[in-house]
Amino acid sequence: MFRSSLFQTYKPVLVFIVKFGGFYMIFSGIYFWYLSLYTAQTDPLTLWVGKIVTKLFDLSGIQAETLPLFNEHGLKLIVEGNYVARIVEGCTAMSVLIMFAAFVFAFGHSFQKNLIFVLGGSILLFGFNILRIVLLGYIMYVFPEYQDMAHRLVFPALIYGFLILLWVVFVLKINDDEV
Amino acid sequence: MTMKFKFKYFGSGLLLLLLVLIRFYEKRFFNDGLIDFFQHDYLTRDLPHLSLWQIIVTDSLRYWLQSVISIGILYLYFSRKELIEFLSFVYVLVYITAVAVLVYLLNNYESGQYIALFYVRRVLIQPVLLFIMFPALLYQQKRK
Repeated sequence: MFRSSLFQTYKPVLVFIVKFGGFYMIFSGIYFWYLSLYTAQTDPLTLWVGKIVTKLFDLSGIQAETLPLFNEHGLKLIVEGNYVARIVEGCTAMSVLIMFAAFVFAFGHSFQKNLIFVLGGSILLFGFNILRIVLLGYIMYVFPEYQDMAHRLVFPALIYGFLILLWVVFVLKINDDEV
Repeated sequence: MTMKFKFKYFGSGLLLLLLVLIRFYEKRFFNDGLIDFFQHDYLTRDLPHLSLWQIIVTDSLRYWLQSVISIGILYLYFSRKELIEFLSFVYVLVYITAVAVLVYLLNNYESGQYIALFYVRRVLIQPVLLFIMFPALLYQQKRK
């Protein structure tokens, strides 16, 4: 069914997919291990995200705070006295960062370039995600009727669009001059 | 505007919209029982009592529908016929691997280990392969 000439043409793509799967497992494995260190409390990354989010709200003149969730991991986000959302582990965009890094390391030829691009791209994605949480928190406070649409549709489309854009830049511009 | 150009951008754009719609209506058409779990209850750390078959069948249907659409997008964009054959092979391979791991995780689920389940399930229900294949094929096209 599968012709060997096709295998020849697409061998690099096939190798890339297998490598991507490998890096995806390695990076998520490291992340699972990190989370396993915090079974009894909220992990530091989530706490840090909560801190930056409240700081940004403060800077824009909106009163906001985070409180620990009762009996669960994560934070309550309170905007102008209203409990609008939970900030939990899944809000840190680590699953997106892991995908991002797995692609670059599976694709790139130069370890140094990969590392720099992953660091730079991660900072951009992380910042993008913080903005996402702030805007979502604001939408939930002002336009709660749109929160589901924003949370499940608009922001995923934006963040995945941005992720793919970063990869396109990487394969066409950064990873260009080597074979 | 040539006919080819129209097909390339409008065709793949329309199919992409279809993927967005699937996500928007996922609860109505592809509810595997885990959607609500991951939105609300996963922190309480007990997997709801679910039918393994419901998860496998629902997620498989979604995977194959999205795969056909994804292959359509990549075919329209790169307009190479042999791509369909190659991608079918890749999608079958990834499907077998992901389902095997998913079944294993569901059968050996321990409370709190929702993370691994989430990461594997997403390979089936999000168009992850489309995301990574697009830049990869773009690179291959440019190298030629």
